[in-house]
Amino acid sequence: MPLKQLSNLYHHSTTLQTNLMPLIEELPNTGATAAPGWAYVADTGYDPSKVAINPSGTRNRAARNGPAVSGSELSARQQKVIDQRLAELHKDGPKVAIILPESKRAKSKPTPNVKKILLSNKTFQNHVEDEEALLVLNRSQPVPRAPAPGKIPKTPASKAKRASIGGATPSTPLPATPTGSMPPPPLPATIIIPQPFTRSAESPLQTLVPDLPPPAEIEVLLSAPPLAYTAAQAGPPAEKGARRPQRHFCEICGYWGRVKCLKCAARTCGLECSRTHEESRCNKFYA
Amino acid sequence: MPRAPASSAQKVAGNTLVLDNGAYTIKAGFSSDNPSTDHCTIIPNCIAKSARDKRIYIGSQLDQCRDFGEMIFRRPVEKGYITNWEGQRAIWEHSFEGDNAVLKCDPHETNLLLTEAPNCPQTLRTNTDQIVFEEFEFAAYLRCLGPSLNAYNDIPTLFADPPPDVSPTPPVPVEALLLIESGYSHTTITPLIHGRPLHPSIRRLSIGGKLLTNHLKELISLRHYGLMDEPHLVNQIKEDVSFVSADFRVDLERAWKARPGGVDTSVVVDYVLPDYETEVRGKTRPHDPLLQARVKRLGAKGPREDVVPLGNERFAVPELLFNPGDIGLSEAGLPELVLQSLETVPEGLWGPLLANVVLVGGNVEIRGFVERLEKELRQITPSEYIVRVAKPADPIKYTWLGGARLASHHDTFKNTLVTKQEYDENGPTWLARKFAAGSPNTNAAS
Repeated sequence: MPLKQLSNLYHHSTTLQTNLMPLIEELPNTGATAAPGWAYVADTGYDPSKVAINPSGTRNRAARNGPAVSGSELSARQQKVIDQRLAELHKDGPKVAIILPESKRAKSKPTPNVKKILLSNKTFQNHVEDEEALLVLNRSQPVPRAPAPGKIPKTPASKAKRASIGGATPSTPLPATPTGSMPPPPLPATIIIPQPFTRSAESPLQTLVPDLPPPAEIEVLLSAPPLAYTAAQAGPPAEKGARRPQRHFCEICGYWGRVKCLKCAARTCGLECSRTHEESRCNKFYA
Repeated sequence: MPRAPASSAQKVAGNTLVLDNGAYTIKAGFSSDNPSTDHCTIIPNCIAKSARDKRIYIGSQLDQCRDFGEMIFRRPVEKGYITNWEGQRAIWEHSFEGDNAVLKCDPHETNLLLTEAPNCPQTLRTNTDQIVFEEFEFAAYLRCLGPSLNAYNDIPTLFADPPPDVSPTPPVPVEALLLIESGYSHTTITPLIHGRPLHPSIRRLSIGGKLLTNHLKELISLRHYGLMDEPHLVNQIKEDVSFVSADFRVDLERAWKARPGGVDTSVVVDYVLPDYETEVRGKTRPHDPLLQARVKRLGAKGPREDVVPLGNERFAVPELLFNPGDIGLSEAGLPELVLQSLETVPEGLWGPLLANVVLVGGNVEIRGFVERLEKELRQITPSEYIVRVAKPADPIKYTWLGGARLASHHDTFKNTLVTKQEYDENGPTWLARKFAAGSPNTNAAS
């Protein structure tokens, strides 16, 4: 109890100090990180010690809600532009119907199944949506995504923690088929936890590569059913922003995008390219 | 109607067609006792319509085409999965049953080994099964994941390991393999143990050759020539000039136009576009910085050619596989995705998997891919593990070769097949369950 009071006292004194001091605040500013490579940015992350004292501070709330790293933050509009561009990149040429020459097979009467398949106009997106809808219907729970990536753990404790997560994965598998016609293969009742990472007693610095898991455990892993299409998608990179800042390129020549257009936020590398951009590419006439 | 007693093995034909049905090309050929990539034919998996001569090219007919200008392509495979069966049927028909078909065969007397991409929605799998048996009526059929077939290849030779003492007569899948397939639609990572995929660990990066080509198309169209309607040409440019940079920053400096002393001509090259009159394919030549000035001076007297100088476009495009964030895609790069996949696998398997990373697919042909991946994997994986990355001599046909090796030993292979008779008796749902494992089960008794 006295300890808590002490810590409260300490907090009060620090806030008093910060209130007296001139306020220097680094605004989230994308311009500061325009140079390639590493960048020091203000840590505007969530600080519980400050929240406890000054819970109504709008600045704190903003820092708490928004992404911690300035520079990698994207507005909804920017995200929309990126999504449109990605959709464009995934496209497979213009959608023009090519009328096929008459097939020899068309003369023989196809089976009902084949007829249905041939006449289907479903795109792949439709099939993926169907699969997810059926999964939700069958399980009445959302499609679990692939486990979020984390950094490689170094300590045995975190290893053991991850091992238990890894062991638990096959126990909650997705059904191999969204139609529900196929029961998932039987799984053993016990979850096998992989051996934690060991260090040899003689020389603690020398690490040992963990042994192969027992065949029974491998068998469990191998008999797990496939994930749904969306569940197998790559997760976002770990520690985005901190370890690998977003790289920007000049949209005219492809060199580092060190200059940002004041009107449309496009990146250019220098005077020459920014002039080209303003003459021909900048489509924002208002600033 | 009385049914004949079920005796499945009877109906298995002697001839097997191995078909790796990719989004960009079909890799197909008949199995033989001693298969090699020479037995594999590459058929463009598309229906193309030329804007010039108004002709429609189906599959291998495209080889006759001499003018790819403004050509429109329709591909039955979307994102790696067959979605348009009308188009796919026409291409298969043309390839197997046409008058001068490249792979002429009678499906009624042929077994089919067909690959599929991982994580396929079940409805699309069932569609495939139904077309194979009800429309083409193949004698017997095996559908499995393309990556799993690679385990039947001679993996020890790739890593210059000593070959096993006794070469097993029925092909045995390699014990551990981390297979990365980088194709037209996407890049997948599949850990395989004894040729069987670890399904929950399969990961997919939605960057493939198509996206790279589209990206290059945009870059060139923006900077030099409008090539938005020339996907075929841009694809050739990509194949001819692109490389994976060993050090992206250094290469970007070398290609900078304002670099002191001019651009480094070992990075910047000139690409002469084909005119489709004398040349069908473009060619590269050393960069000539004074070219534009000379063309201006000579005017109409100069050579009639279109030249595109390519600098950072050469390596910034394949760089997307390693840094998808460069175009704003919030997916991890390939080396990190390997880690994401491995994190779902017990650590005891990391060693064998990391020591046997094999790359297949068309993008692997890009120069420097293997070295870059090996370097980055080494940096991010714990140092206790050995990291070895290799690519086969022909990464495009390698999956096919694995399938052909599996099919070469008929006695074991026929146990994995499902005959048309069995399908007729048991139906598509039974078949889906039978092929759910995604890998050939050579131990199964028929």
